[in-house]
Amino acid sequence: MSLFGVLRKLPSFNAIHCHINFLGRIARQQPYSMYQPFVKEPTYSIEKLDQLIESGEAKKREFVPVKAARSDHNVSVFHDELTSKFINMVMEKGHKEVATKLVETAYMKIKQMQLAKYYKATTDAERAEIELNPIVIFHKALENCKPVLQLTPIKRGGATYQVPIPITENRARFLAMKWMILESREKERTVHFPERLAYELLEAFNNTGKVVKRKQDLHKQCETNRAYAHYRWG
Amino acid sequence: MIRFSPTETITNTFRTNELDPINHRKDHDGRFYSISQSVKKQLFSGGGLPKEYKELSETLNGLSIMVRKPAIELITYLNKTNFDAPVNRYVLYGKTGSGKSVSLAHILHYGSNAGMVLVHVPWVPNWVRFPKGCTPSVIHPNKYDHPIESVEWLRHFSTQNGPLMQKLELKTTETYAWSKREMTAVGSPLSELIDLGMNRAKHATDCVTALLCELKKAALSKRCRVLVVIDGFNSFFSPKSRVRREDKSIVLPTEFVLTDAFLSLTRNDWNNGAIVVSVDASAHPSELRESPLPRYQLGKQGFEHLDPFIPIEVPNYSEKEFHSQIDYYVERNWLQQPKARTERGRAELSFTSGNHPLSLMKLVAPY
Repeated sequence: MSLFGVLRKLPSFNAIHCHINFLGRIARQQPYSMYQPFVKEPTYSIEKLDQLIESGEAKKREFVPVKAARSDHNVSVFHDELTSKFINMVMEKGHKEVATKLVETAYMKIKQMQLAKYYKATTDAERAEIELNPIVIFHKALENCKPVLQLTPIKRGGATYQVPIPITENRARFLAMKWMILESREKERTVHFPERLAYELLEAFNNTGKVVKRKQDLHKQCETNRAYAHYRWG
Repeated sequence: MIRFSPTETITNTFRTNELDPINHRKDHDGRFYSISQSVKKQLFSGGGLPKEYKELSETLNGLSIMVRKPAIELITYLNKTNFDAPVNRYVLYGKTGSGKSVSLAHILHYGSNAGMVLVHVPWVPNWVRFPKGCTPSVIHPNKYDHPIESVEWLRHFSTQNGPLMQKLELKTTETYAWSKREMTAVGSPLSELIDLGMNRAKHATDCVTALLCELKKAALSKRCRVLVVIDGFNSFFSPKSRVRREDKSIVLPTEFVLTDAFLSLTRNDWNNGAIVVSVDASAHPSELRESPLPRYQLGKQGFEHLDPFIPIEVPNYSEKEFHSQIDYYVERNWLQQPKARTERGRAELSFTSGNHPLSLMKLVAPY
C-alpha cells in the first residue's frame, strides 16, 4: 500500500482544511501549541501505516484531525527519530543544515574509529564484539546517560533544599542529550564539535566518559539528599 | 559470456582478481580491483587520489578502484596505439565528482605497469590557486617561477619513476648552465638534473622545464615511452590566479614557467607517448562552471592548444556500477544501516544521489 494511497483514503487528509478555521486563541494544555488538545500527531512511517490498516486501527482514525507534517518527517531508510531530536537540540539560530552536517560528520567519525579497531582485530570473536553501526551506538550511549532521578529545589522554613524526585522519560532523554551536547562543545581549538561528539558517544556507549560521570554524580547527590525526599509532599 | 584471464578466480561479483590494468577489458566493467600498499605509496604519495577518496580507502583497509568504461576505453586505445604516429591527446570530461581523477589514477597505474615514464600533475589548481610563493623568473622575462611546487613535483616524479629511471639510464642532450659555477653537462644522467632541482629551489622550475624537454627528446629517439597525466588541465587557462605582482595586478596562469613547460609537453609535435588530461569545472573560478564540456572549460586558447583531441566522457554510475559500489560498501562494513541495504534502500540511494559517485559517497558516509 503506497503512502499516497493511504493518505487519500483517510478523510482527515481533507478534514485539516476545515479544522484550520477553528484554530483560535483558546486556553490549551500546552500554552504555545496552535493545536487543540485532541489533535493527534501524524504517523509517517510506512511500516506503521501498513500495520494500522491491517489491524483496522486506520478506520477508527478516519475522522481524527491530525497535525501538519513536519519538514523533518520523512520515509527515508536513514530516518531516525532520536537523531532528529538530537539535531534539533544541536541546532542554533535555526541553522538546521549546519546542525545536520555536524551530527552526520560525528556519525562518520564513529564509523571510522570503530572500523579502525575492526580491521586491526585478529580473531572473529574480537570482531563480533565491535559495534559498527553509529545509530546503535548513539541509542545505547543516550540510554547510558539518562538519569533515573532528578533534583528539584523546594523551600522549607526559609531554606531551599535539593529534593530528589522521579523523572519523566522525556526529561531524562532531554538531560542526556543536553549534557552530551554541552560536553562536546567544550574543547581545544583544534578539536571540533563532530570529533568531540564522536568520542563522547563512544565513551558513553562503553559506560565511561564525562557524561556518564555527570549522570552518576547526579545519582550520588540524590542518594545523599534521600532524607529530604518527603519534602516533595510537604 | 564473461572471459577472464586463465589465472583469475572470482570470489564476489563486484570484485575482480585481475590486478594488472593492462588486462582490464569491457568484461571487468563495474568491478573493483585492489591496489597494493606499495604501489599506492609509489604512485600516489605526491597526490593523484581525491582527498576524501583516499581517506575512505584508508578507513576501509585498502585501496580498491572500480574499473569503469572511460578507463577501459582509454586502456584499449593505449594498448592499440601506434607509437610512431604523433602523440594522441585524450581529454576526460564530466561533472565534478563523477570519477575523472580516479580514472586518471587507474591510467597512471596502467602506465606504471606498461613501463612508461609517468609525467603526472596531480591537480593543477594547486599551482594556480594556492601557490606557496611565486617568484619572478630570472631566465624568462615577465614569467613566474614556482620554487616550492617544483621541488615537490620533482620529488613526486622521482618517487613514481624511481626504479624505471634507474633501468633506463637516460642522459641529457644539452648543457644547462644554472649560474657561473653550476652547470649540468651534456651526457650527465637525468637523475643528476632531478637531484639538482630538488636541492636548489631557486633553479627547480627551470629543472622541471629541462626535464620535460629531455623526456620529449628521449621519447622521440625511442629511448623511452612517456605517459603524461594531468588533472585539472583547464586551470592552465584560468582567467584568475592568486599570484599578484607588486602593483597588485593578477598574474595569469599562462605567465607561469611551469605552464609553458607542460603546454610544450602536451603539444602533438612528438611521438612515442600519450597524453591523458582531465578538465573539471571545479578547476576554474565559479564564473566559469556553467558547463562541464571540454570546449567551454578549455576556452579558446586551451582548445586551440589541445585540438585535435579525443574527448572521453566520465558519466554517472550505470545501474550495474551503482549496485557494485553499494555491494562494496556493504562488504567493507561502511554502509551500516540494515534498512539501507535492502532493495528499497538501494532505490532510495540511487534516487537521492542521482547515481552520481561523489553524492553517493557523501550520502553513505554518515550511515
